[in-house]
Amino acid sequence: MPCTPHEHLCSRRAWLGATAAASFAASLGPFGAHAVAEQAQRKSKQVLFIWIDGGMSQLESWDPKPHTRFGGPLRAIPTSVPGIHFSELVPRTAKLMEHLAVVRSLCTKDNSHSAGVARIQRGDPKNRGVTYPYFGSAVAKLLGPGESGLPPYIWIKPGSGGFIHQDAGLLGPKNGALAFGDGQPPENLLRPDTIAETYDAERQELRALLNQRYASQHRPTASEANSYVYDMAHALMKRQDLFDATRLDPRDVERYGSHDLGRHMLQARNMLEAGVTFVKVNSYGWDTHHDNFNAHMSLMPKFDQAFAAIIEDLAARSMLDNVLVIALSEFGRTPRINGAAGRDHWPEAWSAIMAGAGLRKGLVVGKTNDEGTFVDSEPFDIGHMFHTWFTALGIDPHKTEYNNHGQPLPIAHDNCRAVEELLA
Amino acid sequence: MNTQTLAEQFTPKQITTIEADPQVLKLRYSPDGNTLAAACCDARIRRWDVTSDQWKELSPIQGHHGWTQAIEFSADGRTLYSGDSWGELRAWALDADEPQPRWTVPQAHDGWLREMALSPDGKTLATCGADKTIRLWATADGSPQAAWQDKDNEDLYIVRYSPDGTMLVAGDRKGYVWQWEVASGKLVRKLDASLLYKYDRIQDVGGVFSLAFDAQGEQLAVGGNKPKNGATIQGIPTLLLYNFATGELAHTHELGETKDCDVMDIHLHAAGFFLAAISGGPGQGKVVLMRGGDAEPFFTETKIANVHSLAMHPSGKRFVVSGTNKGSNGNGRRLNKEGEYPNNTSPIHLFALSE
Amino acid sequence: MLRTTLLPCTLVATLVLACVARAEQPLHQQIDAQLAAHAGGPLNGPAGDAEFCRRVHLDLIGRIPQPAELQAFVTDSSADKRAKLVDALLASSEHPTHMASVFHVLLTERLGDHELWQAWLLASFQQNKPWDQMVREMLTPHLEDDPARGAGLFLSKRLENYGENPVDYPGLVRDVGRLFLGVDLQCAQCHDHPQVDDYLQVDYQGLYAYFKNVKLNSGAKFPSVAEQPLVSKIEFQSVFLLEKHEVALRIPFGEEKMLELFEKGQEFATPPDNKTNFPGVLKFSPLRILANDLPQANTPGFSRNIVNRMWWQLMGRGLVMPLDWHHTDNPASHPELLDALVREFTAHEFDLRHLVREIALSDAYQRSSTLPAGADANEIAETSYRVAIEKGLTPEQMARSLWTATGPWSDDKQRAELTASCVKSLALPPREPEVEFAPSVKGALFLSHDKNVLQLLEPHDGNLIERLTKATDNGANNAAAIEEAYAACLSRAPSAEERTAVNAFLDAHASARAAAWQQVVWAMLSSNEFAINH
Repeated sequence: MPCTPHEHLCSRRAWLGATAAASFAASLGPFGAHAVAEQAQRKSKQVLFIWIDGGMSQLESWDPKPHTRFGGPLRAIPTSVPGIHFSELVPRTAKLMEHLAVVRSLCTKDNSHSAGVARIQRGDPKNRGVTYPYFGSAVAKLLGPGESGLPPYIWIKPGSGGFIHQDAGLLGPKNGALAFGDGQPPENLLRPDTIAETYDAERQELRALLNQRYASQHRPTASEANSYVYDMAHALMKRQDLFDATRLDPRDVERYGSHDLGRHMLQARNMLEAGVTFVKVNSYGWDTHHDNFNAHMSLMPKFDQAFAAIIEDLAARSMLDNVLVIALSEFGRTPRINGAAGRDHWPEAWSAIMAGAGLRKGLVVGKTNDEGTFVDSEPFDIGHMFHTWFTALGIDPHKTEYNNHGQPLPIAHDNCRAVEELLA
Repeated sequence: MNTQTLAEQFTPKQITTIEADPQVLKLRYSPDGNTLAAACCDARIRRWDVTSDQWKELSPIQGHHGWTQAIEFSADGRTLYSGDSWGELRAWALDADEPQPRWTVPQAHDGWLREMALSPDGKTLATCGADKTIRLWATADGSPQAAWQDKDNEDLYIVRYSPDGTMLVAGDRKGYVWQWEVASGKLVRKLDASLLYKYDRIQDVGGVFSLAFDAQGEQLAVGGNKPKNGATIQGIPTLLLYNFATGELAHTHELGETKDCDVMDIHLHAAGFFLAAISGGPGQGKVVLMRGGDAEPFFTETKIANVHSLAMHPSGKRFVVSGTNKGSNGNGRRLNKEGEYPNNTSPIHLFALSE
Repeated sequence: MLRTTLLPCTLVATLVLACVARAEQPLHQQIDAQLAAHAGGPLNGPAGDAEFCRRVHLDLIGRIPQPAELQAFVTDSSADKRAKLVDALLASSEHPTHMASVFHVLLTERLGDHELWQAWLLASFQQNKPWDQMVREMLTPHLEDDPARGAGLFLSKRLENYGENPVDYPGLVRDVGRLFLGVDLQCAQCHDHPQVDDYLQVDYQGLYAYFKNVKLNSGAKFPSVAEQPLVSKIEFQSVFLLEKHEVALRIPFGEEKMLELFEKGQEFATPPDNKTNFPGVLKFSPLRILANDLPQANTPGFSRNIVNRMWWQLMGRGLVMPLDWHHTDNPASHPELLDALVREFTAHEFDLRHLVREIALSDAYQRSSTLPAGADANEIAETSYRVAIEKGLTPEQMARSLWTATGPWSDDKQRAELTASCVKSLALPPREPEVEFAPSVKGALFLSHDKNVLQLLEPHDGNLIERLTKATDNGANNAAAIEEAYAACLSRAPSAEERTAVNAFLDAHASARAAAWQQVVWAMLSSNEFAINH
């Protein structure tokens, strides 16, 4: 990263400018106010972002090439949309194809994890010497927390949790992720046993009295910023059910899977129902340089189970109209099968699956050649996806800008565009 | 025979290497030792006349789908049985230059037919696969004889008959070896080799990759790796030697480092040692010859990368292994000199065991 | 251009300033004259005694006043009591401790710590070491047997590897520019700065030359760096243009200094000794040259930077914002005032305590932060300084203030844990400059639930909760106890409504007095009023 100008200062100042709803207006470009007005009318837009870390094989999932040189041992199966086939490892998802949209013509830049994970999630914007936010931070910033008052960017992941500021890049640490490590809440989120609920309510009321008096005498900036984080903390505390694994319905657990990905996806569904703007679910361990096929035969069915369950639930709850669902990795996997029966990193031609808000349903966009080695239609970079996703969320990527210390910055790569075929 | 004598008499010498394109998944000699068959990941079965050291390629067998991984010759050498990853099982008449199907079972398994074993009397073929089932077939016409499955067994990677034909053993994804009595179809034992398995994050890693009996059926060798992690797997290649009668684990042999990974194939030699084919991460692999119970192999060949299969010549004096070309792995667009995106190949290495 | 405006700034400023304020006036009067001349509207009245007392305690010794200190100040009827309080606080042993904490955060941006670094900071402020000397010590490579050797942390911490990343030399060069000269040159690394005409690639590259051959001396038992001879100029080329350039040593916006070369093997005046991890002393040492040449009155930006930062520290807003963005197109809100401050600071030999004192004595510093009745906050720009600007409590101020409000306490371990947990929960991540008030959900949860905070609300050996509980056990002394709680936590008297409300609350919880006081005190400690230095 060659330069890091003063993005933090101005974005943080802007954030502090007022309440959440008004604050991002200040940091958006000349069209900021317009964007805010629009967003007020569609505050229910949400995102489920499933990050399959390490690289899911497109050939063992959304773009099978059975019985070809690089096709591997597995079969393809029909989906619920005639003419579209998936790998045999995703039978449940295949039955839901009428809800889904698949892109088979991703062609991105990085073939290393270290570069790929960040560049894909940041939308690989043209290098302007600033660190772009991850998609979660960007959406959290642009859409805000909505009516739920819950933190707008929640990340459910295996391992440890906490407040992950790095995702926010130029938007400043505030717009980072609140991570639930293995579904567990971050430190200090749970009220200690010594503090009863009524006791807490009373002390909060006393606090509110003091704040009222202070606010009536001072500039609003500092005290509103401080009140805002207390309110958000409080909203989160009130929803302890969201991260209490013992409260998950056993029937749901059975449908989603009792493995990490199943439980985390189920928690994600609950968070989306509670109104969280952006929920990211991570699954790790997909870097199958070795024994790719047995690995995918173990991994994919778990993904299939959890993914199909949440699509079914979101559809059944009529939430799919408002929730944009995206599942992808930092790249796909090489067609060539290496000596360890593995597949290596392949950004040249890979797939992503998505559904919901603003997207067309039941279609595949783009294709690879017969052997699946390269894209055989217009290739799409991650920038195209960012344009598409922002547009699907009602955020016009041509009119919305970040304000980086007076320097307007596009929210998605200026050389890319939205993929119109994908948009409803 | 002590180790010293084994080393003197059986240290292998490499005779030749031939290229096979694309990768080879399984090698088998015909019972007379004159033909070598190689099951490949383009679903073909390639064949060579190996009566001299100048191998002569015979017409390949075609018609399978996905990967062909399971092959066995009939005792008279006139039939080759083969199974593919789409679940099809076939018997091929080898009498003519162009092999013709004798019979076909299009959906012998739902999904990957991973391995097969021929009963010592030649009448029954046992197959196993990703549908977690053992299936028995009449070799004469391919008619189904039986199907066995326990409620707990997982994807079955490999199946073998005991040399007396009374028992069938099958190794699964979670490191268990299931043993059925052939006559009754009863599950009689489950050997716990689950140190060859690990659940890492959400991945089942490892499993029983190889099984082999000695000629008398006294010893059962179980091979795989002791996994440290999934994804880009690291694990110690491990071979377990059981007393088959008692089910006692006699020896646990760790045959390398975590980069070496999988014991893919095993042969127990009549002279009292085993040969193990080991495939590690890309570029890693070796062939090991060792007397059971010893601390160290008496021979290790590390120049061969990613050894997937090993076949002993019926004479017991020669063997072949299939490896993988150098530079088989790599991220991103790697084109060959012609600007094409290449597949990988399997050099087949022929060794003689000195005497 | 910066080149022309910064160098002769003293001269120009003197001429300009003469029109507005007389140079012989004390600095704090010049400040007020300058601000009044450009106020653009009515100035707010002075802060009340309690408001001032809290603010000046937080700013000069890093904590809120104890009730007795507050009481003594409020009841003092002498006319010069504010000046006396400023001087008393500056003379107190807590002032150097507070300054050490402020400068630790400013200079390391929480990259790391070392006990010798802390000792050096503390000793420096105890001695009121001139700023130029502090900078000289920080830039000197290896101060073996020198009491200042902890100062090496400024460089050594920035020369460490983080994980698998290479040593971040651009980050080091950037920080030297930002923290000592007020200029962020990072965008001038690969080309002239795209947005700032003043920042040229040669400014970055010339500064980089001083550090090119500097490495962490990791074997030393104190923060130390080692230097290898610099034998050639830095060659550079803009990524946009083909033309090649070179530069030897050059402090940004200054004159290039030529290299002195010695034969191989003859470069060291004192050769390195690997056994003792002594890195040697070069005959021509770029770093020692920088340590000598940079902290000088005539180095563009050297005084301006620190003066502006100290102004920000006390006033809540730099005359130049962002603090590391000094250039022609980003002028100070009050250029003449900044020049006056620089002139005075330089004339007083870089005396930070004098500078702090003068700012604290100004009416501007002592103005009330309470909005005048009927005023529209949006119409009173912060840059006018007409109303005192609120500042967030730093994590360290928060820890010390929580400790002060709820005490007395005596357990040093508990205190250290409280401080550490405040930093962990309230500080920004490393490398994020803590310039703006940046409350977080994490911090709110910390103050709501963390055991280190809740522990302060347990009755113990005459501490606040115990005193309040005892005083109100029979319900007789509610009024006095309420006074005490407000004084201890909020450094003010309760309003009539507050008295009534808290009294009613206590009455409603007569059976659980201690718990009720815990609730009241927690509400105060977690209030916006407490979290803000107003």
